[in-house]
Amino acid sequence: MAAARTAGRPRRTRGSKGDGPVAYLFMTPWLIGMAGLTLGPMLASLYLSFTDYNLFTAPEWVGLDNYRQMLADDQFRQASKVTGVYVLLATPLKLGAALAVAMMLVQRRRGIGLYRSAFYAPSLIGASVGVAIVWRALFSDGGVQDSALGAVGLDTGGWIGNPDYSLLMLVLLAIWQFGAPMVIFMAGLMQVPTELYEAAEVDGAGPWRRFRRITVPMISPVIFFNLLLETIHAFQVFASAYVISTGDGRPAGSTLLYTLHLYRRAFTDFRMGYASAMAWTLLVVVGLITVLMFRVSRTRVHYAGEDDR
Amino acid sequence: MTARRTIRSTAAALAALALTVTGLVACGDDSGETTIRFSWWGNADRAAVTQQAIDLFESRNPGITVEPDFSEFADYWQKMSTQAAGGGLPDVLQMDYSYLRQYADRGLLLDLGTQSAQIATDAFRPGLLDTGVVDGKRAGIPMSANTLGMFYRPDVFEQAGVEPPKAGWTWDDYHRLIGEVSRAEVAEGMTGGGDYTSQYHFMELWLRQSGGSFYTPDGAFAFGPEVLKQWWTRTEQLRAEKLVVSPETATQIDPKGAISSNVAATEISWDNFMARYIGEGPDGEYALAPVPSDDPAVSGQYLKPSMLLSVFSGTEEAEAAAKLVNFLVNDAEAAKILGVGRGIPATTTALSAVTLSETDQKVVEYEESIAALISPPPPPPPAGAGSVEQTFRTIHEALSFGEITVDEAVERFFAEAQQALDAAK
Amino acid sequence: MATRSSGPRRGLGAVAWHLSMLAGLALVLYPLLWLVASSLKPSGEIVGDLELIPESPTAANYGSAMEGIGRVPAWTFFLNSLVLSSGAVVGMLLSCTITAYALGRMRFRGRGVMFAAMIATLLLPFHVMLIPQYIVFQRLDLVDTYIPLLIGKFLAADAFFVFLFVQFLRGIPRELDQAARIDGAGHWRTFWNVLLPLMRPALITGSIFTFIWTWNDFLGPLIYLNSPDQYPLPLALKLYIDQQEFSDYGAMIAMSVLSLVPVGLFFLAFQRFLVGGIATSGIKG
Repeated sequence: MAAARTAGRPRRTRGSKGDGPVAYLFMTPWLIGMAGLTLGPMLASLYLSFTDYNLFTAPEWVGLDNYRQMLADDQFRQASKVTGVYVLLATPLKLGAALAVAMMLVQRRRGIGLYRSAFYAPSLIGASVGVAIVWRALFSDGGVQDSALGAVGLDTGGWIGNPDYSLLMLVLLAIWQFGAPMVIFMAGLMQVPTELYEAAEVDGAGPWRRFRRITVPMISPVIFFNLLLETIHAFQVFASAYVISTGDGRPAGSTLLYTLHLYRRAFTDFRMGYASAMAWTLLVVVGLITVLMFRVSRTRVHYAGEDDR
Repeated sequence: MTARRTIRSTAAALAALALTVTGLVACGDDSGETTIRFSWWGNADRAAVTQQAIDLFESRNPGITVEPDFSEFADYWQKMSTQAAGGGLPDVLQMDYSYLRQYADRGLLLDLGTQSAQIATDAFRPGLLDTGVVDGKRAGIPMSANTLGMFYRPDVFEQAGVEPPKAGWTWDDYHRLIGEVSRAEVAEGMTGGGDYTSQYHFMELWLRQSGGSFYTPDGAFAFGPEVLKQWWTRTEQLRAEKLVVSPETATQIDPKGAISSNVAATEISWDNFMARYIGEGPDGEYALAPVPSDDPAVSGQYLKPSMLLSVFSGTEEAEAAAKLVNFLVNDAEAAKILGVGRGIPATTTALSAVTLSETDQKVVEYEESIAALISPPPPPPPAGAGSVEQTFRTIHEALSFGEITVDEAVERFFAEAQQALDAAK
Repeated sequence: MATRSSGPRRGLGAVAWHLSMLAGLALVLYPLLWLVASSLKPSGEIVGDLELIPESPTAANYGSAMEGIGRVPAWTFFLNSLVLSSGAVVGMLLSCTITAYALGRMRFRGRGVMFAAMIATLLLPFHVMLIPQYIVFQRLDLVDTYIPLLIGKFLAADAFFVFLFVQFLRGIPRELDQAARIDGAGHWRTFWNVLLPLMRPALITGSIFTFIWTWNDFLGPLIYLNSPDQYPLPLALKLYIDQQEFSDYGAMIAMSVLSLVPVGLFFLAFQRFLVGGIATSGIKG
């Protein structure tokens, strides 16, 4: 796997021995957890994806049936489409907002702690029923969104009941809760030595140039982390769609995200085998994207702790 | 080094914690005490009264401890199916009619016929007790019952100058009345009613009015594509003329009802939703009328258990569990404590013991007024019925948004719903 | 922009900065304000109400929220959430840091495979792992304890944090730990004395997320806990909602607002430590 090679490029001073035994000692807790809590259940779900399993009776081997049925499932196609649009919209917008605000919030200013907390505040709630109620109010006919768009002559009605726009509501929710990548960006920005900026300023570099030449390369490991994790996360987003669309992908399947459909198949239809097949299909797709990102990152991401390439 | 010491002591503490916990679990009952777990879905109010009832049960039955466990409806079923997958369920569990067969078919529910010494069955309201019977086994004991009714807003009808629904009315009357109220435009967005073809329960009612049913006794669909097409075409005209609640509005008001959101003057629903509607839309008045039927002698209604109690077949305390079930459905004092939060009680003993609020009184009076029309219940819905219900609603929604035609909707329903039934077998 | 330098146009810059931040905040905080305002509306008027300001404000919802549920007083839910979240932070810090050190700083056979495996665990939707994991804990007789909810944190099962720490470690110049190694420090001391302090922003970040995400976690507690006196807040919140009878949205929202307070304070307290880690010496250009 490319991911493995990029990450696993060992760079030690020449002559030092490998750290084998000590390394595995350090990783013991993780290895135990991996074997017992993660790998086991993952393999179990891989097996289940080749079976008919309704949770109540023993799984029955059906070979590739689940995967074949997936191709014929209209709702699977709908869910894939909705999710694709969601990922493409939500990920870059959320990260852009997070980075912009993070850069403002690493400055030394009066009351900075309060600003940081206030910008993070929406991310404290997660996707709860309370958020769902507020979101429904904001995006109803005559709600804030409808009035604001109406004022500039756009009449879309409340997005919550309009299949053409309802997904945007979930995208906006994702952007609104940009706290996690924001804090990670902040932590990354904190690690950039101030001397670099001072030197650049002496050389007469403007803000944009400093951003391109210093900020971006210096925090590239963090940008990469956020991009990768937010993409993975966007593919798996569940809770917000579950509470806002009341579990049905309403209206008319327009918010039927992939994991929402998967969840329905697993726990409403009791088709855990099929749901597992969906999960593994997603794993393969997102896995390919991950590998691709790691490949690109090899030339784009700069690690201070490793040799320049 | 301090760090190492910290880690070592943390590890020791964790190990000790693990030992204590497993120890506690392992040596639970060796004192002759019987502990049974009782799970239900419901809100905080229900938790409060149920806890009181449990306290009373425990004081009457020294030696039995009841451990309560409760969650919200959808969460509850996720939890139960996970526990079932793990091979265990609570000793006593609140059961929903649409899941009864699913759990019973897997042998997860005890045949309470074997506990007849513990559970009295003589006081149940007519036809109700046998709704809990699956393949000859008493898989659930009904705790409360409801039936369909036509909710309406007398205040809106008065303002619109339209005569409200009354006994003996027909579906044509209903359609006409929806049109009249909608055209009266008594308030912004107020319509005569919603598109009632969205729910399979109402189609079942309609089918039963002409002697049919939704499911055959062996759990297949008891109707063909033509009939479903007829059902979904019924309201096509009303949809086209925008006389019923629009699909946009229907999505927006969720999770409230249309009638309690000031967008509909009528709504077919379960009669025990009265309290809910009053809570959701405190400004409106609500009344109940019989459901429309083209044959005044046949309304298709039956008493549906709004919830049942079941006992896990793997329980080690079947007797204590059965005692609790009996207490909850038959005991007058328990009924007094529990009230009607779970619906109108299933037994006459409980019904005469509870204190009825004005709201509850309306519902009970309604049920008395249609008692003569109540017919025997259909067999419990097949495994996968919950999924069929959702599919029915989802496809109807796509239809009402105009994304598919009636023919496409019908085709999609039979393809997807059949798959759901097959998968659940 | 991104600099933390102080320019000569400080006064004007500060005003512009505050103004733009306040404008951003108005947008971001509006929905939250809505939540708080809703908690002051009579319970039956919350859903579907399009007015921000309550017509007749009432504190009744907070009263019903604090009544507790069944026999369990409301503060128990807060306490349970606090225990779970704190335990999770401790576990995550202990396990994810050492794992990240091994994966990010050590050289050993199989490192690539290990790293790939760690990333792969991020890729599978957790819903399909729920049942197998539940069966594991059920066989071990650990259901209805906090162990299933916390053990994963102590065993670094959350690859998000391992990967986060690895990324930060890799941004720390190697000269620092190499110097320590040359001075004769073993791996443990290099990790503990040299790298861990440098990772402070990442550790704080990880702690904040772990605390908040555990605080909000719903599905785990739902599946694994049976006794109501063990329930954390998210389970309690859902108990005001009932599809079949009346839902007390007022109490639910009031409880949501109250449950935000401890996490908000946690964030406010810990963000202070989000200050420069290694911005002290220009080791590497």
